[in-house]
Amino acid sequence: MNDRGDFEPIADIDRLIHEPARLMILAHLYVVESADFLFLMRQTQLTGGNLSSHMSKLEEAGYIKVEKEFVGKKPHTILRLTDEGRTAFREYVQSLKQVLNGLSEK
Amino acid sequence: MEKSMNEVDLKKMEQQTYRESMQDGLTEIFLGILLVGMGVLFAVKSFSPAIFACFVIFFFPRIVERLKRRYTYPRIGYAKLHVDPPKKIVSGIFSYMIIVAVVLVVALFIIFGDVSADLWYKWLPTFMGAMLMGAFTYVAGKSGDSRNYGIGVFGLATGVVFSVYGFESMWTGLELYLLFMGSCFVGLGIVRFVYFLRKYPVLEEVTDE
Repeated sequence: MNDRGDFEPIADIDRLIHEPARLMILAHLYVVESADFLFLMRQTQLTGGNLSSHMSKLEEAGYIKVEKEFVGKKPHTILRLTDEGRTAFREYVQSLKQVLNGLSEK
Repeated sequence: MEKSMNEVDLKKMEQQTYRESMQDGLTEIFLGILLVGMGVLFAVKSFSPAIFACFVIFFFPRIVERLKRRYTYPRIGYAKLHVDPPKKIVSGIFSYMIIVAVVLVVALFIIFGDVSADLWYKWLPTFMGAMLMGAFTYVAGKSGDSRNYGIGVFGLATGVVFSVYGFESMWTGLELYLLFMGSCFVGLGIVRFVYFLRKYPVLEEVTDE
């Protein structure tokens, strides 16, 4: 096993969340109970395709729950953070703070 | 992406979401209808608080939600906000109401040396104004929009004016205050609603797939 020493906090950062678009999605879902696709598109300024792709990755990881329904004839997608996703997001923020606090200026 | 990592402030994001979801003006319209309704009920002297309260508690949120589904969500999307537990909200409102009532009674006693029922009724607009100020202070905290403090102060100042003005009947001040403030909120809500509809057209091309 490698001794990662001072780099331990950096290595612990969740790479799935670390991607800026996914981080924005999770941050927006963190401050609400649930939100729909349009809301997240507007807030993150991602295109529909991009958002959909990141949404699938987060869903696969179990960080978000996606519910699809029909309003009239239109599909309506509601996203919410799972408990696992909420914990992962909190841990990510903690790790990042730890890393940034640990950075010393030369 | 326009937003960078160092702009990610969760508290501000929550406040922005709250502001966005309230920008359609529907809440102001229904607050206005509530106040006008109370004013009319006081004026016609057939005040039935229980029935009116039931109507407001059970029907208003449902009507607002239906309107939001039709006009708001197709334009800006839907976000369900974190809400404080109902028990905490109700106990907060009652605690604040009692504090306002006690402060007002003490102030009236200090100023006039007596607190009769007539004097209390005359100063009810101030009490209502203080309640509005409390509500808008809460909204200011949730939304981070300091204009709400201004609306709260306007509500209180107007309440004081209606209390001080010498109306013939002790109830007239309260009735006129409720009708005036209710009309202001309905007007403000309609302006915001029309502005909202013009600013955010329905995005037909957006699909969830």
